[in-house]
Amino acid sequence: MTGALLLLTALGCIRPSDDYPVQIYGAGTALDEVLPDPEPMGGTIEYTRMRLWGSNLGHGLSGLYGDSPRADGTSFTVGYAYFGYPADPGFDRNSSFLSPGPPVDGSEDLCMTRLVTSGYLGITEYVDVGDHIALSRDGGSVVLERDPSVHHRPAGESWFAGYGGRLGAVVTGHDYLPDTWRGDATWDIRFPGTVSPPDSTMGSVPYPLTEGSIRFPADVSGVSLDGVEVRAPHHEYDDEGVWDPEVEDDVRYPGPWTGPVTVSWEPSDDGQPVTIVVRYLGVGEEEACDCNWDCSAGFTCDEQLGACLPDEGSGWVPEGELVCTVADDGEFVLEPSRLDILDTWVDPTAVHGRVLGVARISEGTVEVADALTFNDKRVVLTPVRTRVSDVLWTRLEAP
Amino acid sequence: MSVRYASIIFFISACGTPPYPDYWDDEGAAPEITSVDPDSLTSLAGGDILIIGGARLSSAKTVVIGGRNATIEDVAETELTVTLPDGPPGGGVVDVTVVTDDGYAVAEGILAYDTEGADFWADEVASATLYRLDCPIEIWTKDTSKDWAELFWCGFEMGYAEAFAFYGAGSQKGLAGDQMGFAELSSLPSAGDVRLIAPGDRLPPTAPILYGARAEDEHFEITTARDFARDLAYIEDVSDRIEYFYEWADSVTSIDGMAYVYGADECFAADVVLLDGSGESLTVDGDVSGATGVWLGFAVTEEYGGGFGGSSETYVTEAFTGSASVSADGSELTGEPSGVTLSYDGYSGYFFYDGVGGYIYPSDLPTGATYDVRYKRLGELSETTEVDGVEELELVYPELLSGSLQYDPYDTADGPDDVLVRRDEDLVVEWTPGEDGGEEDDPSFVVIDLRVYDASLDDPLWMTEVARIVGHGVDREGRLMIPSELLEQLPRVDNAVDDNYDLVGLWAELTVARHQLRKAPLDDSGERDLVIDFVHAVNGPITLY
Repeated sequence: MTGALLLLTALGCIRPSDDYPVQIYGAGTALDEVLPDPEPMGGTIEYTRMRLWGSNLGHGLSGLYGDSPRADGTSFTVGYAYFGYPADPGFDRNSSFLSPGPPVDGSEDLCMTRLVTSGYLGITEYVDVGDHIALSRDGGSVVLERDPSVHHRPAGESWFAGYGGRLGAVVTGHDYLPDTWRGDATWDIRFPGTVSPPDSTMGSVPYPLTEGSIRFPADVSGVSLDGVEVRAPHHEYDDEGVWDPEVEDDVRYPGPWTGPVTVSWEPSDDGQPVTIVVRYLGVGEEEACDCNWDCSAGFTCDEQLGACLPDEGSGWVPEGELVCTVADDGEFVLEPSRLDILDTWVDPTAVHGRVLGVARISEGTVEVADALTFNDKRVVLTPVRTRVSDVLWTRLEAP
Repeated sequence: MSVRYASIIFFISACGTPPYPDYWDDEGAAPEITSVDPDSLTSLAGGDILIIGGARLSSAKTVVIGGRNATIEDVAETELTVTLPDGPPGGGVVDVTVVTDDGYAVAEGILAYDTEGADFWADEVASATLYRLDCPIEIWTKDTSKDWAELFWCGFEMGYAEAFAFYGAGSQKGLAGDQMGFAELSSLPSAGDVRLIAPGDRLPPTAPILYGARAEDEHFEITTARDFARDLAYIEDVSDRIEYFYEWADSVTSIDGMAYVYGADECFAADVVLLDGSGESLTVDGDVSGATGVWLGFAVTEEYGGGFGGSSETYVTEAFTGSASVSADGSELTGEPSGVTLSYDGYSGYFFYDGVGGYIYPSDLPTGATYDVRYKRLGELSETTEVDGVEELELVYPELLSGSLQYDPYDTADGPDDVLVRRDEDLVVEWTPGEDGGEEDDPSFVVIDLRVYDASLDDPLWMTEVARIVGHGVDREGRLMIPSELLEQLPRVDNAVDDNYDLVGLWAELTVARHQLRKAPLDDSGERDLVIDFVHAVNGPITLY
């Protein structure tokens, strides 16, 4: 009997196996083969530019808003920052906009599958750092205003402080307004510090941040799929730019469902890795409706729900994604096999649309003064994660 | 047994160990605040100097006033000089906090924003905003081919209305006057004054709100007796304005009262001609038995000759100015009260209006009327409070409804001669002074809000604001001057369009709004008020040369 068991076990060693190019995030047993350990941090300051260059894409892809009305063909900037204690590794890894893929050394390509694109941090108290955070240098300026702008008094607990979260225009070279985006630049980060109201249970950083910088990634440019340039749709305008309400400019590209798809881009001067994401979208309710007439283009009224639903998935309802960090050599081939695990784990009936993101993400840290707790104790917040990303989203054809 | 006691003692002793150390070692080294000068301010607008007196202030690093950060200008051992930030919406008494290298000090309630209305909304916990905005039918400007272009702006309706409320989980003083999203009260300088928010400046803070979970049936009723004669008179009024302002008024052959009738399923059922109306009774030209609602409006018929072969073209455009929930018998309708019922929306915490067809129209919020205010929760309807609605704003200058406040941006040889607003001259905004309001228990504000946008920027929400001038008019004075020194800090604004008639470049809009605030107690505590901001605003594009 023992001999039979040994034989059976030994036979298991010679079963056919192979190397899998894709490893799952959060479901494997050897996560450290994919990612180094995250570092506990006291907060995150993020800023992004997003371009929605495909059909039926909306602000939901920012992670902060709904999708209706659709915003395809447009671009925007948005920042978000928040702080808390005790330090949490989630600040290191999780982005409000697009979490980075596996880190690479600059010459290799590595992918992983992510089924949960955001999570909950283990902080017990938020931390207020003043009434705003400013990113600026040489005529460029972005201010992330605090929410709430002032604390509620006297309304019991004032327990939350976040920064930014407002969509803004991409401004460069304007006669009157400061730049809000400058690829490959380094800007200063500043906040003024504060002390929370006496009846607040929140922490605060009592001293200003006077030294700190944030690095913008090189612009993502020249993106094409299988040699076809990714461009912004121009609904209601013909190719010459003349208004024509009949024009529905459908912009979508083949996905790596049955064969490989080559993603190309213009390499940056300093060879900064590129992040490529295939994201599956679920569906979420937008505004109330009685009939289709109540819903805007790209949405259909579900009369039972009484809500407009997107025809091609909700940007703010990710079901899962494949995220690859690839060398900045201008080309990456997305093989269908890379999606095997994603397709295994995601219920296909829950997927209502598929999008592709091409991004450059620039990360750093900044050192801030210790937090003052609501009962006058000292807690270390440093380091704080900084992240600037330039993300180009486009629509993939259904399989 | 002894092991158990030892364990208990060990674990209890752990409770006495603070998880974090004290932030500062020596409490005696902390700063002290003894005074501020001035200790009372009449505007929330920042920029003025405040002197903070006290002790151990020389290493001050952070100064917080009413939750906003002040800019430290000068430090000394017993005195700090700071530039005030914009104050907290709602005003009132605020704290001043100073942080030094050795600790911090909070002087609670040491500074008062004694601004107009601050006492009135001190107990505001629910905030309703009901506004009507009048705007031009069409505007004229030049396109990139240098041809005059006519843009339908607000159409024959010449305006719209909105109503909503927020009832959160705590104090939200000043919110009612800020909810419109333009001409906000918290951005105002002192009465009779004007302020500039220049390109790149931070905007004033907004009133903080805390989401409040409420009963599903919760709603506010803000209604006034139905008077269909008043609704029909509003149609007449708009018809007169069309005749006066519309460029092609000579081609208008008729303006006929009409209505859309909504059936038992609350969907559109028929259109009918309006015959007569008085009080709760309305007569139409057909059998509309079973109707549940109507949209009231008119049809504009225009005839243009000179077509091919001498033919003429006829255009009919329908416009709506009011609505009513009704019951009907034959051609006779009986209307429910005017006004709004604002119902709780569990997703957002806001209270929204869901009227006939989902819309609200200007004559649904009649000016000069007395409104009954009720609050319903868990099946109980509160006692009625009566409040006065807003007094109609009669704007004398500039005539924003004309839609012709443009100049020819290409006529640059000697400068255009048809400019109405020159930046090198003062602009005096005039209105007929209000007869009511302006008292402490009945505050009235006239807000002048001139905003410049860049229409060419790809903005994710609407248009990107470039700069703003905000004026705080004293209603009974009937005029407010915007000095050229401020106007000259705005860019030239052409209000131009491209060949697609899309707005391009810099655009400016001027809004003149009368806010009249009322309040209704939500319970007997005397500390929980619903504040209602009734607003009548006039708005239109305006060029700046």
